[in-house]
Amino acid sequence: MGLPTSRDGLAPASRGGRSVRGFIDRRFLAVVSWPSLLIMLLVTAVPFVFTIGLAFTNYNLVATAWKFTGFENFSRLFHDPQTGTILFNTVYLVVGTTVLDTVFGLGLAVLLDTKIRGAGFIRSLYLLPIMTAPIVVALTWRAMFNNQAGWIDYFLSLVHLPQPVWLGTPSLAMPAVIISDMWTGVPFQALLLLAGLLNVPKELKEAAASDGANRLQVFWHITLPSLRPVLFVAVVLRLIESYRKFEGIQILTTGGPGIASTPLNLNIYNTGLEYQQVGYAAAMGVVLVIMIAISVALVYLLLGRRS
Amino acid sequence: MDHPFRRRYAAAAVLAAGAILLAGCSSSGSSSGSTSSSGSKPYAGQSLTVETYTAVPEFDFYKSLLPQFEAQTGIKVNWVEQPVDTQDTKIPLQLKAKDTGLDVFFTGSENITSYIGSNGVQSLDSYINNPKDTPASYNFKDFAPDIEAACQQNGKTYCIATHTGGALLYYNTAMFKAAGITAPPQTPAELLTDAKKLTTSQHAGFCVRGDKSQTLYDAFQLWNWFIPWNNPVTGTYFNKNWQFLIGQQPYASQFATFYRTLLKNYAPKGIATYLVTNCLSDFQQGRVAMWQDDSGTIPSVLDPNQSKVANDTAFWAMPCPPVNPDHCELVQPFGIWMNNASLHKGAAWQLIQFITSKQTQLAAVKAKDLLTPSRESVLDDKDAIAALPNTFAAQLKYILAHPDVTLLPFIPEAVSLIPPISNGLSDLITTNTPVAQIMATMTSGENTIMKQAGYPKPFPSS
Repeated sequence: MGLPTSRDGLAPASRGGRSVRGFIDRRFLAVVSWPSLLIMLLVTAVPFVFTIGLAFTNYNLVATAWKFTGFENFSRLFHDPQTGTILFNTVYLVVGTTVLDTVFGLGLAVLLDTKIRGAGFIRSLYLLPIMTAPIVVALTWRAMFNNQAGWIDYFLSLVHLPQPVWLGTPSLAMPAVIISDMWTGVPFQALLLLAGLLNVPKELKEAAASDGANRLQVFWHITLPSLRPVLFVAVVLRLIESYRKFEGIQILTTGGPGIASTPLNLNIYNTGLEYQQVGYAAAMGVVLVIMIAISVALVYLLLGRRS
Repeated sequence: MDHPFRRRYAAAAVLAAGAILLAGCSSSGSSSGSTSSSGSKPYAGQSLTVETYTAVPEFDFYKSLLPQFEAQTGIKVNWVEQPVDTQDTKIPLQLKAKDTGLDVFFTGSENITSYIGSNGVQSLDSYINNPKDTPASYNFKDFAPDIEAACQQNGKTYCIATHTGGALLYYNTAMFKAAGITAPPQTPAELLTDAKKLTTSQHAGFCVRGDKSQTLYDAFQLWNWFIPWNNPVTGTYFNKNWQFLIGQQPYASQFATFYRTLLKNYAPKGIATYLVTNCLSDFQQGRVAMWQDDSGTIPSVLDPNQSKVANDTAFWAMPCPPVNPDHCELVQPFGIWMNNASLHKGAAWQLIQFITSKQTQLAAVKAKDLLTPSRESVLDDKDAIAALPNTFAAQLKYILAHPDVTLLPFIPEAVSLIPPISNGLSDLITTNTPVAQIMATMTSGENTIMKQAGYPKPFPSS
C-alpha cells in the first residue's frame, strides 16, 4: 500500500517533495510572510539601524562633511541641563495619558457592558473622536483652551471660577495636553476593553454572585483577572502611542511655555528638523527607544506575565 | 525616389522659419520683466517648480503674472504655495537631498549660510554677469546694496532680494489720543510709560508674538534697542571673539527686565501663546493699542473689510538709541533662490529675472501687494511712494537707513542657536525665575552649542 495522499493526489504536506509546489506547501507560512517581512525590514529595521549609526555621528543638514564622534552626542544629552525636564515631561505625559485613558476607558467599557438603554447609540458616539483627524482634534482643543474666546474659560467664568491661561502657564500646559489626549484616548481604550469584557464568561460571574459576592467583588476577582490579557495589550498600545504623541503637542503648545510641555519625541523633531542637528536628534531617538522598551517590560511584569 | 537627406533639409528649413517667426512674436509680445537677451525661447517646453509661502499678497501677485511669463518664454511654471512651517521644514531637506523636483524657491536670507553649507543653492553670479543670460536692462546694481548683501557670501550672490521687509510699531491713533499721548514713543522707557497708559479694561497696551515658536522674531526687534550691534556677520548676537552679546551684562538684564515688564503687565492675557495672527486680530479688533511686528501685515490692518481700526492706524520706527545708533531696525530681506540640483537652471534664471525685474516690483507696489521693494529705483519712484500707506513711507526710509539684516547670525549653526533664546524668552514671561538666572541659562545654552560646533573659530571675513 502506498503512502496516503491528499485529496488532489499530491504527496502530503508533511513530506512535500522537491517541486516548487511542495516547497510552498511545506513552507506556506514562511512564504506568505516574506513580502510583509521584507517591507517591514525596509521601512522599519533599516531606518532603525541607520538611526543608531547616525547617533554616533555629527551629521547635520548644514554641512556636507560629517564624522563619527563616538558617544559625544549621548554625553551632550546627559549633560544638557534641559534633559532632566524633558525626560520628566515624557514620563509625565506617558503615565498621565496611559493611566487616565485606561482608567476612564475601563469605566466607560464597564458602563457600556451593562444593559442600558441606548448603549448601541453611545457606542457609535464614542467612536467619533477616534475617527477625527488628530490635527483637527488638536486645533479644536487649541481653540477651546483659548483664554479669550475658548469655551472652557467661558464656562468657568459662568460659575465664577478662575479662568487660567491654559496653554501659556507652565504648570497647566501639560495637563491641557493630557486632557485633550483623553478625548480620543478614552474611547480607544474603551473600545478595546469592551471587546475583552464581552468575552468574560458570564457563568463565572453568575457563579460568584450566587456565592454571595457583591458587584465590586465580582469585578475585582472575576472580571478584572479575565480582562488582564486585553488590558495588557491596551496599556501597551496606549503607552507607545503616548511616547509617539506629536501633533497634539506641536499644535497646542509647541512644547512651551519654555520647555514646560516638551517631551522627548517633540524635542527630537525640533532638534533634527527645525534645528538641523540630525546626529544629536538620532541619539535622543535611541534613548526614546530604550525608554519605550523599559516601559513595555515594566507593563509586562505588572500585567502581561501574570496573564 | 525621395532622398532622406532632402527630407531632413526640408524639415530643418521649416523649423528654422518657425523659430524665426516665434522669436519675432515673443520679442514683440514682451511687456514686463526681463528675459534672455536673444528674444528667442531657448527654454521653451521646460517646466519649473517654484515653492513659496501661502497667503502672502506679494507671492499671489507674482503668481498672477505667470501666464505672461509662460507666454513670453514657453516655460511652464508649477507654483506651489505652502504654509510657513511646511516651507521652512521642507526646503532644507530638499536641498540636502539634492531634490531635482525643486527649481526655485522663496525664503528669508537668514538661511544663506546653512544653504551654502549644504551646497544646496546655486551661485547666481555666472548668470548675472553673462550678457547672454541677463540683459543690461536688468540692472543688478539697482538692488539696495545693504539689503542684497544679505543674499551674498564670500563675494558670491546666492539669492536676489525680492523685498526688504521692515519691522515697525503699529499704533492706534484714537487710543493714543484718548490716553492723552501726543506722539509715538522715542525711547524704550517712553514705550513702557505709554503702554501703561494705554492698558485699560477695554484693550491691552502692547502686543508682540509671545508664543515660543515665533517669539524670536519680535523679541529681536526689541533687544536691538538695548544691545550694541557688532558686525555684519553676527549682528547683535556675537562679537568677533564669539562672546554672546545678548547674554552680556548690563545689556542682558536691561533687555530682559524691559521685555518681562512690558509683556507681563501691558500685553493681552495669554501673550505667551500669541502668534502673529493673534496680535493682528487683536489690533484689527481694537483690543490692542500698540504692536511691534513686520510690515508685511500692513495691508490686513488697513483693509476696512478686515479691520475696525483701518482709519486709526499709524506706523512708527523707534529711533535708534545711543547704544545701537546705526543698526537697530530689523530688515529681513526675502530672497528668491535657485536649487543647486535643479535640472533647469537656465529656465530658472529666466523666472528669477522676471520676478525681480523693476517692472514687476513697480507693478506689485502699485497694486499694493508689495510694501518694501528691494530696488532703489522703485523706492525713488513717485508713483510707487504714493501707493504706500501714508505714515509708512517715511518710516521705511528711516528703517532702510539703519538696517540690521542679521535676524540670525550668518554662520552655519545659526538655526541651532534658536532654542535657548526662545525658551529663555518664554520663561521670562511665564515664570518668576530671576531675570539674571534666565539670561545665564540662555547664555550657557548658546555657549554649549557653539563649543559643540567647534567655536571659537576664525571670524568670517564677510
